[in-house]
Amino acid sequence: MRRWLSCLFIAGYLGSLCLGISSQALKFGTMSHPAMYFVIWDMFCGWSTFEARYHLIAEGESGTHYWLAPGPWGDFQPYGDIDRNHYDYHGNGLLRMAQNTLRHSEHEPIRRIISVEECWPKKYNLPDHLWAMRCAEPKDPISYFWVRNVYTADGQPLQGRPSYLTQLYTESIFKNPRLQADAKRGQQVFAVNPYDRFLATPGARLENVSPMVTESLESLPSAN
Amino acid sequence: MTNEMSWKSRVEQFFFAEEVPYGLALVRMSLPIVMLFMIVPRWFVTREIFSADGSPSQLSVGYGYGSMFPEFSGTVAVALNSLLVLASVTAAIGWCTRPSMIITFVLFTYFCWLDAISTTTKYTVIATHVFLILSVSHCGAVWSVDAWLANRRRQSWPGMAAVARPTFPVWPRRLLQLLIGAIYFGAALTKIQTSGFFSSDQLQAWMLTHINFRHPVGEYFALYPAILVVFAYVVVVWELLFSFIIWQRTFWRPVMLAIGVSFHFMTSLTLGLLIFPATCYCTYLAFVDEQDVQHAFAAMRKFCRKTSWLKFAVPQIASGISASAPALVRRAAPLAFASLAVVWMGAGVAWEHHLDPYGIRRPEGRHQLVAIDPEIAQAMLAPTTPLRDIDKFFAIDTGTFQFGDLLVDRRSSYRHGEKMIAQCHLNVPHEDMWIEMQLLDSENHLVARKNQVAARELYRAHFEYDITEATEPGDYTLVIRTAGNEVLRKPVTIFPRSRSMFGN
Repeated sequence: MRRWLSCLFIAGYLGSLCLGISSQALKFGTMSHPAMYFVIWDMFCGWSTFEARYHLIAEGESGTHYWLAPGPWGDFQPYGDIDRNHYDYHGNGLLRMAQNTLRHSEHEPIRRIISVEECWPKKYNLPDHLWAMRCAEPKDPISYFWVRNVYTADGQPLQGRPSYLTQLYTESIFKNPRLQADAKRGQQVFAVNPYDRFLATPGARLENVSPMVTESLESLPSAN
Repeated sequence: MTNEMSWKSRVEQFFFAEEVPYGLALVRMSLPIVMLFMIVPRWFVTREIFSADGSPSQLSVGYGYGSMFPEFSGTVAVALNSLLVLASVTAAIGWCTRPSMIITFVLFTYFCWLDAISTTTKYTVIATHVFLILSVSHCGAVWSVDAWLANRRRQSWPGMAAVARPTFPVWPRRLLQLLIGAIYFGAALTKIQTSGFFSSDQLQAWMLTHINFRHPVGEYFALYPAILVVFAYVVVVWELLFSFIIWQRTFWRPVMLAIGVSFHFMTSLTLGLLIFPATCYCTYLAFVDEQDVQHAFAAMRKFCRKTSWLKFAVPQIASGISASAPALVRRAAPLAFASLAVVWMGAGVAWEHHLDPYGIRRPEGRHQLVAIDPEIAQAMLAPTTPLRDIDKFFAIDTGTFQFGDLLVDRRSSYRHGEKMIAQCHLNVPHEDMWIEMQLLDSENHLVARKNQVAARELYRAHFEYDITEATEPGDYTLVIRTAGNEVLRKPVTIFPRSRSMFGN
């Protein structure tokens, strides 16, 4: 009996490893289920030439803006010397972090919660002595701030935008006037697709949808 | 028929040969301790990142499945995390090994799942796999408190006679070895599928990233991308071959393991990874078998015989350790473990309550939100500044020799007869750009001009300029322009052709 259980475990375990390898090689179903994260070994899946940080701020009714991450009680740096909120690339947890800070702190009534992405080219991460070795021009670092998401104080999305790099890439393609004209020809005015109709319906629940998927689809009128 | 039986018996031998689980014991002793370096710091923020009283971010949310696991109250989360800390320690020392390992596996996986932002990462996934395998193995049979409590006398120590040791099927260790091979193979696949990896652009970008621990060595290597190209190929070849070479006890096994040790050590220096290399080193211990341990002990015995004070001290220490546990201790051990777990969890909850991480029980009241400087807030919320032209370029280099699309001999002085290659290293993403290279003399007169299109996916644009006698020796300036604007300048010097010692 123990031998049978051992064989079953071995077969199941090796089967899961093979599933992960084949899924990764054939690019099939890699994001189909969170369990795939445990069998897909994509430790080096791409790094951009821009560094990014993710800020959470609150706008009070007085017009004053407040930091929401890290919380006022202290910070937590999981992997180096930057705070936890800066590791949320997709923005899935930023709203919840913001609401947690508001829940456990004293503050005036809050009007909006805003997530801001700060980007800069990674060449400015070079220390000064290495910069001097590589570049003849003086170092002139700059940060590009990009408002990513805006929510009401109770978490209703008001605005959602893709990441700054996605926006740059999109702009690099859509600066083409011919392409812009072609895109307008196929743009729908009414919510025709079943998914769009569902999201455009009042009362549609978004709580199980990752915030990065949230778009201003409420503005699309239903075809009914 | 004979070949088929032979194949079956080979597979059976591979998975079910009996051995003393030394390798598993070493992994059991080391990996939980390594994981404690990330578990303990997160214990202090359990309420914030692992409980419903905080802001967990479950792994399943990013996959569109919502919250799949329950999120407990802060108190329960703290109690469970305290239990995880205790179970990791008891697993490492081998006390109630199987329950400890199962608790470690379940709670470690649960907490990692709860915080996809700052806890879930690939080394925690590797640890999860290892904990699973260890929990179904007999990793606590040797070198453990359980082994001492089992009243196995006269363990193998230098100077003491060898006795029958417990043996078990080898398949858990084989699964660990196959896991390591699968990890490296999958990692190689990822690298092969990643655009810009073999051209060193991805490695360079990672070495300049500041999201891990400090890595000044990586920043230095980022200046020499040609070296990174070599590293990229060596790593991928090694990862692909690992699973196929590592099995035979030949010259290649220690070589492959040594490359692995070096590779992970370099990731610490160049990428700022600390726990990941340590995790991998722990998994490498799965390649330690009985033969290795016997050789090690034989070498230790030989060393002790040569060292006079060790010759007497070690047997005394060994006999003390291998002395039988009192019967009462053996019978009370499981109850003691359960009692300690309850007390430990209670103590953890009490201490966390005392720490009051949110500061809600402070005499002065809850924390106030910190206001942002109005100028900073205005800068953050203003319309985004258009990307400057200079930020579409990483650097400009000049040289004469290319290796893998990268300049190798970066220099700024040239002689007649040489070909100067000017390389514009670009930041992706950028739009399709029209790049112009101008060569100006010391009086700012235009000497030469070249231009080309840099498509949006390109990391580099090259200009070649033949330096002939038509270009007077002297100081020049290389100017890079795009969209009519000057972006970068680089000084270069041109010398006459070097004279031959035989004249003319």
